[in-house]
Amino acid sequence: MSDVPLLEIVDLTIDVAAEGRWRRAVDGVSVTVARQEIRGLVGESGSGKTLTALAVMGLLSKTSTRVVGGQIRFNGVDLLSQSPRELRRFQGAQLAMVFQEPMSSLNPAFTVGDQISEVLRHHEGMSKGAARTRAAALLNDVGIPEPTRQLDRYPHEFSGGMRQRVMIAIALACKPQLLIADEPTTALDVTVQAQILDLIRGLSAEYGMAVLFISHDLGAVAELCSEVTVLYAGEVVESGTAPLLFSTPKHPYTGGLLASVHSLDDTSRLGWIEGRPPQPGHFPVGCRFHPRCVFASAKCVDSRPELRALDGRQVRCLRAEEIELEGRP
Amino acid sequence: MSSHVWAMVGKRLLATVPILVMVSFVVFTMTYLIPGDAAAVIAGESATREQVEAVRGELGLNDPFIIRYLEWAGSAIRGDFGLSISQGRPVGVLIAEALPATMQLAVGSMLIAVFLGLPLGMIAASKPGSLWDRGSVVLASIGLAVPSFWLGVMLVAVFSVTLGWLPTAGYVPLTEGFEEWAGHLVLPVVALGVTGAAELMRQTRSSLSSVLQNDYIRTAQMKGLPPRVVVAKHGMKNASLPVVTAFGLQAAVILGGTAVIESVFAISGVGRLAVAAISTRDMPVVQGVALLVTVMAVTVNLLMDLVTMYLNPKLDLS
Amino acid sequence: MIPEMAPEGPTTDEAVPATAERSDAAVVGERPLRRFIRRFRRERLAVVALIVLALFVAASALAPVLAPYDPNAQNLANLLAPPGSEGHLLGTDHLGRDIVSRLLYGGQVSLLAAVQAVAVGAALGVVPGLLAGYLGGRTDWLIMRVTDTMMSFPPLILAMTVIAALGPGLVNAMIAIGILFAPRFLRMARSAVLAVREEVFVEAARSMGIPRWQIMSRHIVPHTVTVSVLASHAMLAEAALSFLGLGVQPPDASWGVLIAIGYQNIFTAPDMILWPGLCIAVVVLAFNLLGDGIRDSLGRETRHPVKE
Repeated sequence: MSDVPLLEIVDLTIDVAAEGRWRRAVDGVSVTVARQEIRGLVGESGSGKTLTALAVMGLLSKTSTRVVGGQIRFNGVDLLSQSPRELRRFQGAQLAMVFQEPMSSLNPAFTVGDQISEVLRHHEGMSKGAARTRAAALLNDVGIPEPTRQLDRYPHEFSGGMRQRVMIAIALACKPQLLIADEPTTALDVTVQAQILDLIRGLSAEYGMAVLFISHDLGAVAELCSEVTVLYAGEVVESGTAPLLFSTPKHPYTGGLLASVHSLDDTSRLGWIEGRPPQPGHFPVGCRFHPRCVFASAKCVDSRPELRALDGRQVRCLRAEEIELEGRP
Repeated sequence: MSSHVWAMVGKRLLATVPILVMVSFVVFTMTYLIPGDAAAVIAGESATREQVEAVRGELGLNDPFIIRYLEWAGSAIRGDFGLSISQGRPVGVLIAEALPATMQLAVGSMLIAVFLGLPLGMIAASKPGSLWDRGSVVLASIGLAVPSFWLGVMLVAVFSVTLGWLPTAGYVPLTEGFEEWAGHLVLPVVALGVTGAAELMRQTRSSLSSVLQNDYIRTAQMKGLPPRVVVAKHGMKNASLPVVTAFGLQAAVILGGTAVIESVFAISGVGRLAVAAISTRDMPVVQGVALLVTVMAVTVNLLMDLVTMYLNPKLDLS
Repeated sequence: MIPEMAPEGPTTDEAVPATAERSDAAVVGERPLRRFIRRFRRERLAVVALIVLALFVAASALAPVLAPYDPNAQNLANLLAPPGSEGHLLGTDHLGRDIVSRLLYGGQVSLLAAVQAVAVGAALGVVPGLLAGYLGGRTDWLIMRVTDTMMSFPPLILAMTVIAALGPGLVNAMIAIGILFAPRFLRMARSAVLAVREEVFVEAARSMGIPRWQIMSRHIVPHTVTVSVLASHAMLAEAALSFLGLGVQPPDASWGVLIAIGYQNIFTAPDMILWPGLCIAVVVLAFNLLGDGIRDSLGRETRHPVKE
């Protein structure tokens, strides 16, 4: 039982509708999350990270996206082949998600307590009173002071950081085995960001919960995650344990991301990657990263690199052995 | 409910009073402006000038406008609208006799508007681009274009004249049997309610489909809630505000429309009373009905405002 | 905008019919009227509606030419002839009068009446609305309270009350409906004035030499939508009042009256009610669709005027 990973995304391929056509947005992505592991899924816009997350949760838009191939195995069960009704037994219970925009993710017309209780009453059949008690306990767990009083408040009475805590409480309510956090701190103040990250780390340990932490911010990922997968233009370009990747990155994109992470104690190294990430339908031929890669050679323009094992991790680069990248041990 | 909420409710109630006063003023003013001479009509064709003057004095037609208004309003509050010129009976009694039929017709039509319009609108909004969605737009457009009295007439032609399933006319009180009562009310209520249903369906669909784009709907889906809960509970709670307002307007339209439908189906309601009174220039009846029906419409809108306040805790309607 | 689902096939080369708006950005230097017309032509339903309306107006206007018979000519030998009878496409009524002719002439009355009612409403409402907008303060407050009161009335009740005062008849009915609409025109005029007053661009625009009327019209044009819708309401109101005998009086006949007459004969000729009602429904629908089309063609510019 402990051998089977909690979540196995295998060869996931997703098309999105853009500019009147179907465009490939997620191209054969495979990610694994073990039990109680915190894995970071890193990428910029257009990388496919959010789509992957939504696919796991079963929240993809039926009109503007379509899953073309692959499997998403959760505890061995392929979620993609589940009917909507069967999926709903997972959603909110064993699988939960926290989104990027805390200001708009809570329903303004219901109290915070109602919104937490709702999950409990739906999945666990709790009575109103029991759910309310548990909701207060959850608010306490996520660090909201005076939880019982706050139950009857409305979302608009809370700040962004507090609303995100409420969202986390909702996600945690039924003790999920996997929490997907999609850029949970991006929309928040810097000081609040650190608090939320601490909270997630603590809750993961306390609840024995795995976390798929999605972000473009390597700093946050480094703080939180033990495993990291880097996405670019719909593909996995590097994947391995966090210490390994950060100290010795093998993909130029990973190296570039690392170089651009601000470090308060080391302002000497401040790099960035030229250009902007490509959007679905406009992925470059050959290696998708080559237009922005300082190490790009002739073969990078024509040939598509495969994902292969190298030095204890997976990397998708034709020149990975040849190039030296600076890491941050 | 907190005292703050009671205060808001109280304020809203208080705000209704000036409206009612102004409504009564308008009703009185308009009927005051009749060309022609009520006194002469009452006194009769062969009356002498002195007799007409006497009648005028009796009716208080010589008093200044504001005095006449206040007298009329004062009596009206107590339910005394004077005597019907054509029937000689107290207007209040005539209205009281006719009111039950009208109320049942109006309430029935409002129920049709709500229980036909809202569900159809919700289905359309939750399945954008589908046949349900496009069909509902077409249905709503047609429903709004069809005159309600013509629909009533057509329903009679089909169900009463041709098929013989339902009676053509009249009103039968509930005390005389459920089937008789329902049979007589079905067609009128449908005829009057369809337009309201069409408008509510349109409003619901429009309001709900934009609400369903919001992030918190995705959160509700994440929780594993079934689609109908997501739409009906999370969606509608936020989408219902414009729908509630629209219902208030439709209620007023329905209340006014009873006049026409009652004429089609020969229902002895308040509307039919008013129509007959217009032909005979029986002003006290017209004043009484106009005031009463408008007060009912204002009351419904007040209730809708209160519902709105409950639905949206952020709104302060003061 | 969301394209429709496509059949299976390779990805990037696949074309999916897009329901998305084609780029609708303003063509540089294009005059507002031209742009409006260009957009409007794409609103197919509205174009059809406009054509239908034009046909009805033309048919009514040309009634003297088109009608096969005098609408009031009775023929007691041929009462209640069914549709398809010889010489009478839709049959005759209970006095032997040709129904097609009565429909054509009835259309004249109904359409004219609707236009008159809207005109009365505009005449009664626009000036007080402009005053309320310009003067503001207590005048505005008072005018708005009166307007709110008028709008609290159930529409037909208000119309009936006015007719009670003035007496039944077509003209009085139109005045009544006009009074009913006046508050809406008042609000439109007032909001146009207020919007112009608040528009930050007014000074800048005027300094660039844009005439004041053009600035005003930007705020007035969106309201043409409402006029089309009010026309449809006017038709429905006139029909209802005439049906009740409070509007058009015999021997004149509008479509509403024709429905009433048809209703009197419902047991012997149930089809008589169909034609006039259908005419009303089609014209009302056309007015509504036209209004929707105008609103959709106006686009975002009129809400946030862009300096051209």
